[in-house]
Formats: sequence, structure tokens, C-alpha cells
Amino acid sequence: MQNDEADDVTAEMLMQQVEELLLMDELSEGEKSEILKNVLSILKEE
Amino acid sequence: MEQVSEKGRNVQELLQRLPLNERATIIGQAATALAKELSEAAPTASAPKRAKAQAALNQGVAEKLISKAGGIFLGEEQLKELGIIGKGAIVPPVPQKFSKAFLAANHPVRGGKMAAHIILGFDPKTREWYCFEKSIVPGSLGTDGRGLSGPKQDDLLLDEKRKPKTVQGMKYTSPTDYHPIKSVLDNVIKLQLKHGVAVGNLPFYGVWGRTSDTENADRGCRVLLGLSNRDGSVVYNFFSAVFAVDGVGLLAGWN
Repeated sequence: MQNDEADDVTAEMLMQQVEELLLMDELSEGEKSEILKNVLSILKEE
Repeated sequence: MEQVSEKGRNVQELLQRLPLNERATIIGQAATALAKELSEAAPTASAPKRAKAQAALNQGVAEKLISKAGGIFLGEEQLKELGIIGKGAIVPPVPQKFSKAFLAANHPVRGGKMAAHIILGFDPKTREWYCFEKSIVPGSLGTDGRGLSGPKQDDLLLDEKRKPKTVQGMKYTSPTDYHPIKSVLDNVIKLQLKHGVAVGNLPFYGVWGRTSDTENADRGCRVLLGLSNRDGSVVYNFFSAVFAVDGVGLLAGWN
């Protein structure tokens, strides 16, 4: 099961996943942009 | 439906006028620019926001991949309505010992992608979870074989007589015993989800979908899977692994 440490998403972890997304062949650039836009809006929401 | 501003529409129109390769370049640059913006926003965001952002990222990817695979991504409420999760669910939670072993046997490789070496299956007759070594499941394969350790998937495909290995502490079964699990898929079909169903959220995450484009189309269905957090957010997706199994397979687990 998860522990507290695993629950804590660091900026580095998040960015690593973003980089992995950018490298994915399975999704188009437009799809990647769409996902990233949504992620960014969550980070920036008040 | 997403609201598109007038400015956005103008940009879209301009993009449409460009040749395809130039359009792709611009969109690609947009993704990179967004990633850069994210790298600036992430360190200052609160931990819960980062967790939410991570869940959104994973789910966004999962939804798109599932959609491409002909599946349908369903939210928690929809899954409850369909009786797939929650009280009286078709599939009960994965036993913890299985999920732990699943994580131990399946590891992230190359770019964070996961390679599955054991598969968890649910038998609706006994309502028990079973554990399989992936190689004993006839017809199991990765889409491109990337990120898989040990024998190449092609070898495994040809090796249906291979005896299953015991996974310590696990109940395992032979490929021929795998068929009852098909009724899980039948249940899904009965639910009139013709192209598959994504089982997300607690405590497991999986996707069923029928194949239509592989040599295994006549033998069964495809299974895509990821691992979910307790809150249902996806931890890992088997992005490159599409498993065609004889009947239906379900990969599951959580961390």
C-alpha cells in the first residue's frame, strides 16, 4: 500500500512524468498539449 | 464542451491553413512551451495541487490511449452505476498480497513505462483473484515488445506448453483454467459496452477492450492496464503494453 512519502508528489516527479509524456510516440503533439494545458491550469488555479 | 475563444478560433484557422508538417512543428513547440511553463509553476505549487496535477496528467494520457484502443474511459460514478465497483461490484478488490507481488514483479522500465510479468485475473465463478505469470497466458504480447525483460514476447507466444512457475504465496492456474475469466468480459458486454470498459478508481484500474486488428482478434480481447492510487488516480499506465489474452485478462494492483 502507499505510504506518506509516496503520496507526496514533488515538482521533480511531476516534471519527470511531463518529460515522459513529451517522449511518448503514442500520442500526437496536439494531444500532449491538451493534457499539459489541463495540468498547468490545475497548478495555477487559485 | 470546451469553450474556444475568438482568439483561439483565429489561431486554429491560421493553423489549418498551414501545411501539415509546419502545423505539427508549431503544435510540438506549443507542447514544449507548456512543459516549460509547467516546470516553472510546479515548484511553487502546493503538494496537493501537484498531486492533483499528476493525477490529471496520468488520467489524460490514459483516457487518450484507452480511446485510441477502442475503449471507453468511465468515471467512478459511472462505474458504480454499472456495478463494476462499489457495493455488489462484479469484481471485488484485489487482495493486498497480490497487488504487492504485482508491483514487485512488474517494474518501470524505459521512460517510466511498465513491463508486466505477472497478471492478476479474477474468476467470477469463485469470486477469487488468481495470479498468472504473464508468459503462461496464451497469446499474451506487448504491442512492440519494448521494455520487456527476459525472453522476447515472440518466444513466449510460441511457448504455450511452458509450465507455469509458482509465484511465491500465490495461487496460479494453467492457461486452460483461464477461460472462466471470460465471463467478466461477458458481463461487460452485457452492459452493452461494445468497445470495452475502463475500470478505474479504487482499488484497481484496468481496461478491457476487444481486438479488431490483430491476429488475436478471434481469440479474445485486449487488456490495457495501469495501476491506480487509492484515490483512483493512475500511477502507472502500461502505455506500450496491450495484452491480447485468451478470454479476458485483468491486470490490477495499487501501490
